[in-house]
Amino acid sequence: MGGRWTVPVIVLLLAVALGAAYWGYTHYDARRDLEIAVANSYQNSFYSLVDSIEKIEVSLAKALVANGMAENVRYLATVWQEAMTAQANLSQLPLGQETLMNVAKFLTQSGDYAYMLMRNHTMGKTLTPKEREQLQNLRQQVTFLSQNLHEVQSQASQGQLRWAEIERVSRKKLPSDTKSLADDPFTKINDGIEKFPTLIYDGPFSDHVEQREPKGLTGPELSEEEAREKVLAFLPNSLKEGMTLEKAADIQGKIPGYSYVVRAQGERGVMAAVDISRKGGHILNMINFRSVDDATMDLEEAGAKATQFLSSKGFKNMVPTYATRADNIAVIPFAPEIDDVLIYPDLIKVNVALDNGEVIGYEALGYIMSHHKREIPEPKISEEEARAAVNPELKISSTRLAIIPTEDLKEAFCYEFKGVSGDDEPYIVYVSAETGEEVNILKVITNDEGTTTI
Amino acid sequence: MRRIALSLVAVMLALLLWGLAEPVTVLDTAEAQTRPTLHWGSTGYNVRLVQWKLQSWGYYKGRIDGVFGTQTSQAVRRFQARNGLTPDGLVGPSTWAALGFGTAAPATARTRAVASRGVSRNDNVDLLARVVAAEAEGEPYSGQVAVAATILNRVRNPRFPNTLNGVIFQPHAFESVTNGLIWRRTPSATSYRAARDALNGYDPTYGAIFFWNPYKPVNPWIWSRRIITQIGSHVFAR
Repeated sequence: MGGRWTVPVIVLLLAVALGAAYWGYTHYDARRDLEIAVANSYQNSFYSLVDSIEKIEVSLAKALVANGMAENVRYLATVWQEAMTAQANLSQLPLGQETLMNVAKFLTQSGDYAYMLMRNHTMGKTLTPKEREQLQNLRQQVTFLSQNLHEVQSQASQGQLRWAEIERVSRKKLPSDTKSLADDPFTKINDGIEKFPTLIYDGPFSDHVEQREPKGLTGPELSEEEAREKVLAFLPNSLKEGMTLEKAADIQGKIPGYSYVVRAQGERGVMAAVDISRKGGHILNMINFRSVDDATMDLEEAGAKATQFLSSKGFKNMVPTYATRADNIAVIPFAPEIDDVLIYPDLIKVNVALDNGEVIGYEALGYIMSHHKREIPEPKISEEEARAAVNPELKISSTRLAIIPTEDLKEAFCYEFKGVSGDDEPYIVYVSAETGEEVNILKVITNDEGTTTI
Repeated sequence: MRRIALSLVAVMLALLLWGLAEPVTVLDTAEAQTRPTLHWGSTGYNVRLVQWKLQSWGYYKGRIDGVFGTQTSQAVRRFQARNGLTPDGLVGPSTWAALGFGTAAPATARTRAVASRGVSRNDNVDLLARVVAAEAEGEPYSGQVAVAATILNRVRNPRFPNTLNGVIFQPHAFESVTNGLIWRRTPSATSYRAARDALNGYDPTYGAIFFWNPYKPVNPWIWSRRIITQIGSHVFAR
């Protein structure tokens, strides 16, 4: 070759090569910058975590020494706050979900426990010997955590903790025996925490919440055939004519049951799903997937349809509590009313399609978890006395008795006061009918979707 | 001479490949995705999406085969007529949007209720619907509710962050958050409905805190969890 084109071709190729090199380098550079930024934010989370753990350790130690309750509230508040901060920072580390799960649980429970003790203090209850022992125990675990985290921190401060690498390893989903070294200190910490006992107390994250058993699961064990019959009896005609009912799966766990799906005959698409418990054949939930046209009725009418539906299924005395709507579907939670007392824990939720009033959703998990035969007690506090516990700013419009679920899944027998505050915002206040203390305050939110409470 | 030119080309290619192999991953903006206009005779993944959607809403009775035939065309027309669109049998931007895909947000996402004062719980619905859309697209409706319910179960579990955003943005907790898919896919009306049902307490998983697709490679550790049930192509476990 060697013609007159050689030189221009080489020049051109060189130019392109240089361009590509430049382009590649800027990409490499941008990527490195991002990687550093991300690693720094991981480092920040990690240092915050260690810092919080130290504060928890110190505050727990002081709480055990302090004598006065007022003093103790301060230390417990620090434990609560720092435990929550530590938990949040922990879950920002790129370690894979399983690596620090026990530590996360430990931190949530420690904070929750400190919060409960703090609340007891504000009501004038001192630490019991048992609670002291628990705090002592928590302190030991925190010391274990802080010692081990300090070891990791000293690696980190020497720049040996490479988050980018840890991230890459934990990102790998395929089986691999070669876990990176960086992961090891964390696994060790997590395993260390696992050996400590479970913590049971009055808080939403206590172990008893996870371990609770359904109270409403009564009745004999059903065969698959009997369960199927029950499901068919429950389904509306619109889900039976020209449809087939197929068992989709077995449900294991706390509420063993069968999962069914409804299909139009000869088609693949699923129209609805129904779950039924094996014990007693209780319908757990039903969801009809059909699309809903424009609304032809309001929430009140939908509420009447839902009440009718429930009574046809054998649920008498169910009262609609509040209602919301979205996408032309009304969601109406019902609670049973016994001797003029509303039982909020035994909730059944009914979804009504606002186009023709058909029930297209049913959910009874709350009912099945907590329904049992209740002795409704006589209130120890009169309505007048309870009313005195409510802020006088609140203009009360209605009063009734109710049993409400508390955070830790217990129940409280209360007076329910509905009213509006001085600045015209609606609230619901619950005052214990047994002790006369305020138990809960709900803020009522009304918008064009309906009414809910926070 | 030729050899030099060839090696230069090789070097250039190598550089190019090196540049491509390490791309800067930037979060795509949500609406970057555009969908092609589909018509009679179109084929492929997008046609499947339309057929699947129309089938789950009861407009289409045929097979989900990815072929835009007469049956699909009729279903599209019926859908358009019912939703105030020109019934031309073409799936263009407005029909894509009405189906809950593509550039515009679906009708339900746009008309947002405004709370009486300040506080509302809509932010949770939006975020949850995004994860549902990204993690459970193509799953049966109860499978979509199940994914949302699993996320909410984590919020209540002491082993996981105590807020919804904390759970969703936990590093490597959800594939679609890690790879940015949740920002690329626009949640459909169905995703919103599933998110709302879960927030209202529907839990077809009965307390599951993990879900995965058993037909895909996963971390073997996950199989040590206790399986509760299977819905669509996901296994749900505690």
